[in-house]
This record gives sequence, C-alpha cells and structure tokens, in this order.
Amino acid sequence: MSFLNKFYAFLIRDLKISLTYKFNLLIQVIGLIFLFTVVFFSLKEDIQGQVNLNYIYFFLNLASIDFMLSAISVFSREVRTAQIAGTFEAMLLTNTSFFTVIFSSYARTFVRCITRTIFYLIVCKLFFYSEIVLFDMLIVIVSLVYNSIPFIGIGLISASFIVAFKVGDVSTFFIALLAIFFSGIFFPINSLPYFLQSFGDINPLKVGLETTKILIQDNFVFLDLFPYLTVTLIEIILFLPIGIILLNYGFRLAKKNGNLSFY
Amino acid sequence: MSIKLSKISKEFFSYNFFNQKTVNHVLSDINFDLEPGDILGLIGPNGAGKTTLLKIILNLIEPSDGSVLIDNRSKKYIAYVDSNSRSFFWRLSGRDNLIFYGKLLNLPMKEINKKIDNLSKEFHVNDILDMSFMKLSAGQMQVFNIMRALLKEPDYIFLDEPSTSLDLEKSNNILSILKSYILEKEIPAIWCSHNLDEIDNLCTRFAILSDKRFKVLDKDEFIRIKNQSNNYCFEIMKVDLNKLNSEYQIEVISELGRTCLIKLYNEKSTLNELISFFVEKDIQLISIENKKNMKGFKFDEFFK
Repeated sequence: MSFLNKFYAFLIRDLKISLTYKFNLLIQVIGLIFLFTVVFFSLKEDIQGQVNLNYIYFFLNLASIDFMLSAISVFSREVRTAQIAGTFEAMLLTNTSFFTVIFSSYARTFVRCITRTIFYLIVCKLFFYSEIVLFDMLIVIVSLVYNSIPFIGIGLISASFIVAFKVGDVSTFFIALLAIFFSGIFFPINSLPYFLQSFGDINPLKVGLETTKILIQDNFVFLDLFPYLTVTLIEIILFLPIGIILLNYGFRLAKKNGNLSFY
Repeated sequence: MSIKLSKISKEFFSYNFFNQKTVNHVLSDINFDLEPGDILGLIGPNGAGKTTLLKIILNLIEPSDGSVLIDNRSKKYIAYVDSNSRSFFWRLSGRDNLIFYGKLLNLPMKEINKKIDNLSKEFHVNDILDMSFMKLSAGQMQVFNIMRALLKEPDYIFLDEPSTSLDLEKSNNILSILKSYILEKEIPAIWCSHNLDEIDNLCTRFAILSDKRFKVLDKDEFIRIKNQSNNYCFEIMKVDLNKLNSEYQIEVISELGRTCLIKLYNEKSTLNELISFFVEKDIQLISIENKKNMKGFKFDEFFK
C-alpha cells in the first residue's frame, strides 16, 4: 500500500510539473494531430469504409515502440536528473526505498503510454472503421504492459550504469536500435538473411507485437499465443532480476564513492 | 534513542585518465555517542569532512571502516537540513513540494495540510506558500528546507549550515524555534556551522573535526576557539596611530580620509581588554566591527 501511495505521489508530482511546461504540451498535441492527419489522408483511398486491421497495426506499432523506448530510457533519465538536481538524496532521506524511488519515477511515463494507446485505439475506431470494443482496449494494454517488462529489466540495467558511473547510457541507444531493426515494423523479417531471422523471434518488441495482433483478432485461440507469451516470460525472468541486481550493485557502489548526488 | 559511532573511517578513491589511483583520507577513527537532548555543535574548516560524516550517519555514504549504531534504524526518521535548495522541485510551489515529501514520509494528507499550515504560520511564509519555488529568494528556499525537515516529528535531526542565506532576524527567529523544538522533544541533534555564535547559543555539546580527526571539546576549549575567531577592526583617527606601541601587532587595513581602519593581533585578548588598551592610550575609537572568520585558525593545536 505504501508503495502505491508513493507511486501515486510521484505521478501527481510529475503531472503537476508537466502542466507547467504549457508550450511543450501544446507541441505534443499538435504533433499527435499532425500524425493522425498524415496517416488519415495517406490511407484515405484504401479505407473506403472497409475494416482493415493494417491501420490498427500501424498504431499498435507506434504504441509498442512508445512502451519500449519509455521502459528502456525512463529509469536512467530520471535517476540522472534526480542525481544532478540533488532531489535523489532528499527522497531517500524520507525512508523511501531506493527501488520505490526508481520504479515510481516510471509513473508518469507509464500513464502517458497507456493514455496514448487508448487515444490511438479511439482514433482507429472513429476514423479507421475498426471494430474495437472496450475489452479489446483492455487486452491490448495488458499485452503491451506485459511485453514491455523485459524492456523494464533492460532499462534498469541501463540505470545501474548511470547510478554508478554517471555516464554509459549507450545500452539504451543500441538496444532500442536493434529492437526496432528486428521488429518487422519497417520491413518483413523474412527479407533478412536466414541466420538473422531468429533474432526477430526473440526480440521482445516483435514478440509483443505479434501477441497484440493475435489478441485483437475476433476469434483468437489461446494456444496461438502460448509460444509468444512463453518467450516474453523467459525474457522477463532473464532481464528483470539482472536489472534489479545490477541496480542494487550500482546503488551500493555510488554510496561507497559518495556520489549519490553529483552536481 | 541514541546514536553510537565507532571507529568510523572514510577514504575516497579517484582515478585519472591513466587509471592511477589517488586516495583521499577524509575521516579516521571517529568515535562518539549522541544521547537524547544532546545538540552537538560540530565545527571545522572547509573540507574537513563534516558533511561526509553526517551523510555516513544518514546512510547516504558507506564508511570505509567502522559502524553507526541506531536502534531500529529502518523505523526512525532522521531529518536533515542542508543549504541545498536544488533538493526541491523548482517548477512546483513550496506547498506542492512539502505535500510530495510529506507523502513520501507516509503522512496522511490531512496531517500534511495541518502541518504545512502550522509551520507556515510559525515561519511566516503563508503568503509565499503557493508561489513557484523557482521564484523564491535563497533565504525563503532555506525556510522551506527547514519546514520539510519538520513535516514529520524527527527521531534525530542533523543541520548542516542551516542558517545559510537567512537574514539575521529570520535566522535568529528560526534557529530559536528549532532549538526549543529539539530541546522540548529531546531529539538528538548535530549542528554544523562556521558561525560560532550560533553554535555557542544553540548547542549543548561541542566537537571539532579537522584533518580527518574528531575531538569532543569542553565549553572552555570551544570558547577559546570562538574568541580566537574574533576579528575586530577598529576605526581610529590617523593622528592617533603614533600612540600605538608594539604591545600588539598592528595592521592598517585601509585609510578613510582623516581616519583609518586597523587590526590588532593578540589571540588572548577579549574585546574589553582591547577597548581598555585604547582608553589607556587615550585613543578615540570611531567604530568597531567584528569580521568573524576561522581563517588561519590552528585547528591542529586541539589534537596535540
């Protein structure tokens, strides 16, 4: 309960801070409207009042990349900001655990990703003739969250480098690049040389997308999902504990070096 | 509700581009106890390791050796006031900052609001409570720093230069509130400052930290340091300069028309003795100013 209360406190804090950047909010809204307008007019000829899952897939791809990039980058970014600003030590002095501070810093980004996904799906329903119901939205969000957990593990590994060494966030860049490359979003995986195609099969982004695509089909069979869910589960079991262990190690190293804060 | 430090040592390592290691010994074999009602005034030159010592007790820095014993540590709230205004979120208001930290302290919203109301009245900041933090002056930010520490009743309180940026009136007001709060609740406290008057007025015990070493001082030793840190400057008529003999080492700091500003060097003399000296010599004193500092003070003498 204490964790949820603190998570909520972080969320409210970050939302209040976001609201002070009015121009930034305006730019984000304009960006979203621009994106939808471009997609709508470029696909208008093809739509013609027909249900076409490809348009939903387009937005699901966007949502998946959003979840992935956020999960990979948010922890290291928030830790770095808090360390530089000096708020990190102040938060730890409230008897709030290091991990509560780290995970709660994901609050706003997490809510933003979910809100955007809902927004994408509503747009799909209103403008792209998709037969999405509330249950679909729920199931899509659960799937995206589940499939972003391996990236949270990777994000924690990245944050551990920042906590301990203050630099070295290169993992975010390369992992994001590789994940997008082997996702099948921009080109089909089977157009790659055969030996590279297997990377796609274990890529959490591609696995997540496949899972979500199956889920939004009307008559999906759970057995079809099983291999994808298993791959993701294995990746969660692999990356999340490694992330937590490394982050804990980085935290202890920073305490030893006396640089939990650095200006 | 006591704190026991035994054999605390700390060294920091740094590496240059060629991976050559430099060791910086900051603290060495520090032992002391802090009991309820103790307000330990900790003095020492810049870079002596006062903040490092506090952060070791706060568990923000790991000691290289030794241990800090605090009963039931995980359930104790140690309030910490430093002079770092960056530990607040500048785009939020002072109130929102306090609410956020109050929630991290697991306080119910009702209690946070009540506490903010009481503290803001006591520290006279009602009118700036909802102002964006970045628009506050450094002194006002420091008041919020102190208010944050008192949101929840602390089991221990550590103050690291708490009066930084506060004007004299505000400083006296806030520090006396803090002192009565600490004494009333018998909260063990450590008070670090370069302002020796502040330490003298507020603390019940004294200690010095210099060149890695720590020593508890008795009141007489502390007063000696305090007197030595006095730096009196006297404004006298230029014509009286030749009346001064070699009893004191004299330095003329500046000349101001018909008057001049001088300094007399004698570590053992009190202000009364210095004034008597001018009276004896029939020298007219225009003004006296005390520019306190601990520059050039021989801290090492206390460890011999």
